[in-house]
Amino acid sequence: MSKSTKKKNQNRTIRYYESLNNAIRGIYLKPQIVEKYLKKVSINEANTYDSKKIIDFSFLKSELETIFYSILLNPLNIIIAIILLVIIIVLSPNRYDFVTAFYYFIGYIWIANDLKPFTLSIISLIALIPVPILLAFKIEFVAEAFASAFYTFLTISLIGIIIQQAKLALAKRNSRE
Amino acid sequence: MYFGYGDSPIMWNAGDGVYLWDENQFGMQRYSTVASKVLGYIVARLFNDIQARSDFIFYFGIVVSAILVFFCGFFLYRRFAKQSKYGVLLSILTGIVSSSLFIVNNFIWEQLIYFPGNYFFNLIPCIFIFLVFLIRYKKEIRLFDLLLIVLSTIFINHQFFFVIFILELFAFFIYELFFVYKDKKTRIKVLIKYVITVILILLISSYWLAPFISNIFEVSPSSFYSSDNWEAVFQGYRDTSRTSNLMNYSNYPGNISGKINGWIVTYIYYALLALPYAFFIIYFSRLKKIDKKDYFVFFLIIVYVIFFNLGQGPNSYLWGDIWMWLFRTQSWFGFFRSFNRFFIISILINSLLLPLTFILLKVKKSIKIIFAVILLLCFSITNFPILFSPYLDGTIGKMEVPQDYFELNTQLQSDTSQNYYVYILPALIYESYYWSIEGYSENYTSNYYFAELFYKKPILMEGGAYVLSNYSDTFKKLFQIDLGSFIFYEDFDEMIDSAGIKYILVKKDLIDVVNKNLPPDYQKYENYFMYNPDYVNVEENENFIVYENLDYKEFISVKETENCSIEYERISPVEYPFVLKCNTNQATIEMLNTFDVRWELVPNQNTQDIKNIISYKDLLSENHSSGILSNNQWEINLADLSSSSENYQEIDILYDEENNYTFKGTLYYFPQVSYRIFSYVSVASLLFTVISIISVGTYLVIKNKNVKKYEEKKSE
Repeated sequence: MSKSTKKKNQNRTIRYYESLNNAIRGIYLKPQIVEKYLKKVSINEANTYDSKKIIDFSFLKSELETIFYSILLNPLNIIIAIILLVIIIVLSPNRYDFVTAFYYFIGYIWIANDLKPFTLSIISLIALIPVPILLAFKIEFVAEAFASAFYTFLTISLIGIIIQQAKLALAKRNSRE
Repeated sequence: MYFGYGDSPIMWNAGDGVYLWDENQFGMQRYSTVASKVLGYIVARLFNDIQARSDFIFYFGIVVSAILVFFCGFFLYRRFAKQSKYGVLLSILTGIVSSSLFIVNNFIWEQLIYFPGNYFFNLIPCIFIFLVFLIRYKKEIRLFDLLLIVLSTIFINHQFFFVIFILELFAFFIYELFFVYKDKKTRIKVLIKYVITVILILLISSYWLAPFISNIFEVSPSSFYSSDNWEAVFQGYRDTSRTSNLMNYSNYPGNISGKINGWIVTYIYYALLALPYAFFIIYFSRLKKIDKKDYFVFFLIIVYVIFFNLGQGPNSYLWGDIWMWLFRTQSWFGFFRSFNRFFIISILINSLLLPLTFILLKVKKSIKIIFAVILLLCFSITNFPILFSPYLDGTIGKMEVPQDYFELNTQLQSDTSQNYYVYILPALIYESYYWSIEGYSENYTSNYYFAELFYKKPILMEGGAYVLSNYSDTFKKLFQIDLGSFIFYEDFDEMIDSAGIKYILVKKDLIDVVNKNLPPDYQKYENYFMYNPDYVNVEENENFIVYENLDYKEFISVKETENCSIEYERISPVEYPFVLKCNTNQATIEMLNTFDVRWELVPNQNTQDIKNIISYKDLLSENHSSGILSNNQWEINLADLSSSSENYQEIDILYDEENNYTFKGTLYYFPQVSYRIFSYVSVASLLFTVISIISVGTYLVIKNKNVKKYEEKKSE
């Protein structure tokens, strides 16, 4: 298969995906609201964290809003993520099936919606706080869930950062070509 | 004087040679212990010669690792901090912090308790890679640096750590190839350098690597253990290697981890240790584009995540299911049963990330100081049991073995031409003796494998980790862990005879580590053998009683006893030359060890010539089969062999006028050939590496001098 046909096929898949996504979205969102949300998302996406504080909560608020809008605007991603969740729960022989599937679910949504790794890493940091308390009170099962949330969300953030960097490098190379 | 404890008593068997066949417990292949035996031999000789103190080897291991991590910390500060007036002092402080974090934690100490010999030697090359890359940070990694890394691999004596080392090297290769260099030409140069490095590493390790790899896909690692032990240990690792446990370094809950965990301060301390990792991820996630200056730290974080997840094995949320699938379906994957060893690299990176956070974090000095004080307090409180307890007395015991044992060994050694088994009773899950307890005995009263390593004749002794009954159905009853259920069944004596047992050792000095260190009941054995006319009491002392079995089957014998006779000699556990005399065409040679298709009958006694062994590998392999006792046996047609000898002069068979055949052959364990060949390869590669290091190093020194001279001239 030549490069151009491959690209054409890819574009066609993206188009199918988008039209299906838009059709589902149309069931519960009015076109005016979609446009409003899209604008907000694009404005927020362009924002980078430039606060001198380590964690700026106003930035976090706008980030969480973006996440909400992105998820709302891309229902197809949620459907795929739920299918993945069910498949993992059914097929997985691991005893932490549900928790594993849940992390994959979050990870997929995050990466598929192009969400910022920063927010997820902050969420993971919050998940670390109860771990020592729960362990001290011997509530090990819940502590395990929080501890793994801390590490897994950070790992997903790291994967997100790697994807982000790879995209940047590719864009740079394409612009050179 | 013998050193050892736990599962890796590498100091014990100095001078016995290295063989791929372990003749104890009816014989089993032991490919995985080759490397530890070679290093163990060298180290044991060294420490024996200098009459090392009991804890010297222990501290030697700790000190070498601590020094290496100290230098990692030292160069970390010099490479990442702005130069200041107190630069040297702060570099030293960073080094101390890094090495303290790395050494003083329950994970390292617990590993040390169970695998003292293996652990620290293997850590040397693993830490050394980090050190080289920190020293050469922002500079080109030269072939010279890589050759030094190659040389450090002589300390690797365990396959698992070899995997860790190779993964680590691969990670640094990827870092150099994709993070540091952009142009094609330099990338090819880097690739060539690493290819040379890997080839040299493989060649140096080939003496154990080649036999090990040839065997791992044929024989499952699980076959060494009883099914209970295999599964129980795996489940133990699985239960303790959950994320919440790994972040507090919990390794063996019944050990130091059990003592230091449980109080909130310890958990806060571990949460603080996890913070640098989160800090760097947050730092990178805030950046639109990661700068070149941050590549190394970013790379460290990726390596940390990979090894942390590898350390979690089946509990990893990223690939736990795939791991479990491999473990259950691919027998070779059982090699990764003790998966949390991967965690060691995460601990190393963590101990570097913490000081790095202090160096790079742009906050007020006072905040840094407050944070440092909190950490120091938490560190001291958490590691109190390690810092202020007898653990620091050392965990590798030097045992003074009672003189009675040496005298028994002299007696066993005097029968050089013969081979037979020594059956040891009572059988316990863990082998341990009252005289072997030394120092802090709470955790390590057990000096496993003493019997296997000490006696000069093969032993039969059931233990928790063995699977003797799996090796031979016939002897199933003979081997039972003594839980008060042992009875002398009807054909017990017959079994002892046919198993080739000459001596029965009834031990009085055993203690049961799983039963409050109490001695087991040996009286019933004494009563049985004392009044049985088939056995003679040949020796008795405070440690054991020796009974000689008067009618035991020879280790190597011929079935046709009326027409044939056989004489053999034991050269080593893998080599038995024999002379078979027969006045009949057909003869069946029996060898009383576990059937293994790789035992070979060489039709002459010239085993010095490797080519000779290889060329006759398949000559009598069709005649090789498993006997009634699941042992090795060869059915030979001497007439056929005699006619073949007309074409092959190397077949050493004589047929005289009185219709008598005299056949001289050797029973040889064929895989030993690969060890013999590859040990030459390893020595040659090691010499080549050393010579290359000296010559490349000299070249670099001369080159640097010339450059300096040139620059001086230029400035004048």
